[in-house]
Amino acid sequence: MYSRVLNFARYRNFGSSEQVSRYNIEKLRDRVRNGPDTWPGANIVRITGENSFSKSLAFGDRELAAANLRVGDIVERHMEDGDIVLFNRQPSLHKLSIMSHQVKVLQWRTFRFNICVCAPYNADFDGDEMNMHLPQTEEARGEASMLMGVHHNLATPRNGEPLVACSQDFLSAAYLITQRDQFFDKGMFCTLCAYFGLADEQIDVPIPAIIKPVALWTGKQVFTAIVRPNRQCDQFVNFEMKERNYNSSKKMKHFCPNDGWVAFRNSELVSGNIAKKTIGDGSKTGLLYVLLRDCGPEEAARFMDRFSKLCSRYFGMHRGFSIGISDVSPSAKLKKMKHDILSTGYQKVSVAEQAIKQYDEGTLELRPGCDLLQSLEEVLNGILGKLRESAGQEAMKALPWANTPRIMAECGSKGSPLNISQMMACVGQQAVGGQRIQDGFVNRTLPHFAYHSLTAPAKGFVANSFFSGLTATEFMAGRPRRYGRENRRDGLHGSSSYEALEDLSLRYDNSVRNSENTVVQFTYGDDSLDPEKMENNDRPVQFDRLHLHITQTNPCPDESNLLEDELTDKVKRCLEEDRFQKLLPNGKSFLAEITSFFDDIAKKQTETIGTCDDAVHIEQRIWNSCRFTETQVNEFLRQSLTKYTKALVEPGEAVGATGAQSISEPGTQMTLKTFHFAGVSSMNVTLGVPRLKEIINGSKNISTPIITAKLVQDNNKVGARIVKAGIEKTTLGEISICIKEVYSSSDCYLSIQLDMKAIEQLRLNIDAVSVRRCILKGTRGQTRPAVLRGLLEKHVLVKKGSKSKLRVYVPTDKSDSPTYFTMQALKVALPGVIVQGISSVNRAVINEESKGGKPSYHLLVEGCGLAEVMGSPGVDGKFTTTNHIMEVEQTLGVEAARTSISSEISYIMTAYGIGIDSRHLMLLSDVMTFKGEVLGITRFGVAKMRESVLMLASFEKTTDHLFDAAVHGRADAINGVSECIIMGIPVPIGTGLFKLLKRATRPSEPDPVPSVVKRGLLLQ
Amino acid sequence: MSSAARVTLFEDIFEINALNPEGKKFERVNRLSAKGTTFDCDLLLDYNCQIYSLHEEEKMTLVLASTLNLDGSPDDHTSYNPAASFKNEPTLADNYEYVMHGRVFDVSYKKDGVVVIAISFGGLLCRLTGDQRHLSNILPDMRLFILIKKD
Repeated sequence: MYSRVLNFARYRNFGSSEQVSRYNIEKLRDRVRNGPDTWPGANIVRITGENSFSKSLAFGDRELAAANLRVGDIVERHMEDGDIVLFNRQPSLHKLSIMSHQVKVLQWRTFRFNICVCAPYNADFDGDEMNMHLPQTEEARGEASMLMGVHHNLATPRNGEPLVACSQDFLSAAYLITQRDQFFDKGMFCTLCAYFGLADEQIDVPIPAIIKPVALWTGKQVFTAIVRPNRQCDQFVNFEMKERNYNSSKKMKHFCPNDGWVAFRNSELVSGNIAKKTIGDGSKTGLLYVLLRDCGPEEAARFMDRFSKLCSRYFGMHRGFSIGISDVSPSAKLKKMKHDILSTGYQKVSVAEQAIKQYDEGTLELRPGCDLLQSLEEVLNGILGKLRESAGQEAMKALPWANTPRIMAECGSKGSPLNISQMMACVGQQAVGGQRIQDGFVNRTLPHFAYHSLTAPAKGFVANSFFSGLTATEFMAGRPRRYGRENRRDGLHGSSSYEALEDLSLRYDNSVRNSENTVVQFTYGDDSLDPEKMENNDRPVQFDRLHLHITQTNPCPDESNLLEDELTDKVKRCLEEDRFQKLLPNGKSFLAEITSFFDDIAKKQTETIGTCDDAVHIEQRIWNSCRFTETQVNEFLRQSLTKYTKALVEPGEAVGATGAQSISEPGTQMTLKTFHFAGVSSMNVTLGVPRLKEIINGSKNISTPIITAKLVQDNNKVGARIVKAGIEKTTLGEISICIKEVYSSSDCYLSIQLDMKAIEQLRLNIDAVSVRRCILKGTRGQTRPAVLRGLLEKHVLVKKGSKSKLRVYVPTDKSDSPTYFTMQALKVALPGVIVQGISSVNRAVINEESKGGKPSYHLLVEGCGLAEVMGSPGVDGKFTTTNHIMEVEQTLGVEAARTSISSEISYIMTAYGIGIDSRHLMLLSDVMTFKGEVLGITRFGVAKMRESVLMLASFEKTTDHLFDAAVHGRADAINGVSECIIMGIPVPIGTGLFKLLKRATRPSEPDPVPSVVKRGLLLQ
Repeated sequence: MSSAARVTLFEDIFEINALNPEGKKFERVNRLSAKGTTFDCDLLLDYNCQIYSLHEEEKMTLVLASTLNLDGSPDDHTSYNPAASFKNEPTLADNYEYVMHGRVFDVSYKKDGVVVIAISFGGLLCRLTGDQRHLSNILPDMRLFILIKKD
């Protein structure tokens, strides 16, 4: 399929050189006769041998040239069918942005390829341009087709999910064809079968599902025929999965009323409708993935090929699939329903208005950690959000089954229920950065509204639908577009992390090293497994699926089942064999996984068999769930081992480059900038590209540092409050009723009256004595104002018999300034004195979680000071973390920082629903920490990691580095990727890693062989 | 054992309790839920309601058979033979009104000797829940015919 990149009819200057051999001499003679102007022809003939010369075919006798062609000559011919070309589309964000295809030369001047391959290039047809390169040597052609071929790149190296997959129309067609009530008579069934083939393979017509009263085949049988057209196909797929429309509340599995449980038995679709999760991208449970893993990429490609043919022909000739304004016109009933919802909604909005009123009066109940305005916003967000949701649900319910927008939303080909409800019912609340529309004019969103108006329409609630049309003010309530500038900035950031990782590769000793041979990881990702080949949760084998596959492909009806102990013994014996023991120590967790899988099976057997002693009955009971015969166990272990061995990374693999691309490529998907932290609405954390940049740069100051502190007693809210009070910064001003100036005839002083009631309520541990100490000593790590430093013991006195009153006398002895001024300065400084808490902490919020039904509390502390928080009474320091990498390094050390880097990046990625293998993150964090300290990937950090002048110069500040190198007379070994590209030498990574080494003259004493052959120095 | 007994894997008269117990989702397919009168089995069955109609509280005979040949010779379950329909040889299907072909895809064990057998007729599903003693002829992963007639 994707072997058909298409190309212009004749292109004189685009060709490749081919050497004449006895196999192609006749073909090349034809080319030579055609000359440069007729396709397929040739431009130049290079005669080799004694008197070699080049002869242009534009002039002279081409017949003679063709006749004189000898084996060994080189003909520069035009591009022809079957040539390997590289195809590329900018921006080249990952390695899949450039892949090799096979050419089929067709008329006209556009490139054409199967739309399944659009996803890796991120291409569409709105005027996209792409580049094509034609490799000129056999070596280049070989490497291009083996390493960069589309077939070998169906899955993304980010996490192994299929990227080349069916999309849009294909999904709609699959969904419609596999509906439970799709029936075809013999003629139609055979027509469909004929559609998906090229008449080059046999298609077996199965027995119709319904034989009587009339023979009818179901749509699922068509699909089965696509997956396995005839009995000669010996590759089977077996899996079960939930499709998008599976009704998970009913738990009926195959019998789901929506037909959402997809099950394949020996390539036969048994139940479920096919939609995005089965044949779309980004799903590791689906058909495409299973085909790719179990049957090989060719089989997956053939499936997509067949299906694309069927899809366009089915839609084009039989069904048709369109969308028009009538599809989203709300019926009169729906209009009324919407009106009702909105008017009850307006009652609800009047609930909202009530909330606004309460806000105005100041009686609104505060949400945890929010001030009054934030609480109001939260209440309103909830009410208005629900309004659209309920209107949308009504709209979706009212749509008939055959409604095309609904079908598209359901099978995932285009659009979502949200889009439909926005078209039909109500566009809903517009939000920017998780908040209602912000003021764009003075104190209001638009000049049409009253100042400080907080009502729904004034803050961007759109009651109309796209169908009914938006009013002028509603139309203006939009969200800002993402600009190209941001994309470019993100791209730049991606390239900077690439610079630091580009030269990492896996060596033959399984270690990951950079071009200077410095070890970054002793074992790649702790187990040397390739992220691209992981099946399940970053693990190489999904055992449940394999079990199903084995029982279906090897039913072994004549063998007897291995009972509990026999089974575990057998597995134990097998695992002690050499082939498994060789995997140790890296494969330890893999072996443990196998053992635990069989333990579960054995347990299940005991449960299922129970006291039954009828052999036939036992067989029937355990057959589909936990039967394992000798052959099956052997086959199971063999296939697991094969999968594991195949998943090992190959030496030379540029693990750094793929890792860096995997981390930076999803950058464009991370749009929304802030998120609520762990569901606490008042606490925002920076996420997305800015946060990623903070982590990768190793920033000292991050915009939202948050410490998550576990409490020793996590079930006690009062206790949590006390701990919180101990951490949160409390100033004297916050807990005093008044600080007043007192002048008497004898002296003048400031009198402080503490608010003991507030102190009590806030569970603070403060009285006049401790306040006095704080005024005199201050808190550690904070510079006190000069006036306070001038205070001595005698100047601050606690009133006798009172816990709440203090006097601060004005020191008069040394000071030159008038007493009055000193007093005023004191009066300004005193409210800022920190009487309790950690100075670097701005705020702490108690977060409630339900843990096994019981509420569990932990603290979220905004600010720095991990050590102080860990040491605070009531905090369990062992489980207290922060998102500030540099602070982790200072407090807990570089190992903790390393873990923290990968967990923080993983947190960002999960927030946007981007799956990324942990091995990539591990590699990045190892690169940042392998020098023993956290080095950000900035020009300073990279300079500490690498020594190559050229590499640093190519990164940032080119001239500075070059001048510096010239002054100090530095040398460059030209080993890294950047240097080699600058110098035009093959890069010592991947297929360039190994060299042919010839033993030199002294065989007795061979030189120690460096793993990379050294070249001459640049500035020698 | 007579040849008919070998062919027939299961036979019972069912009384239909309800049509589409979970609501009607598909235009041309109904799901019926029925109870066996003799063996007390629970049945859930999808059928094409465009070409065959069944109603609530009706009784029907349901047969599961491994072959349609009356002499009991095994059927070729893998491919369609259009010639068979022209031969006019009497088959088991002649006595029934509605016949489907499919495969058993799951046999699972519930408690107390009750097994659940799941059969798929090209996506039209059938679930038979009952005592294992009556259902032990139905082997996992076998291909079979379902034959129905109204009583």
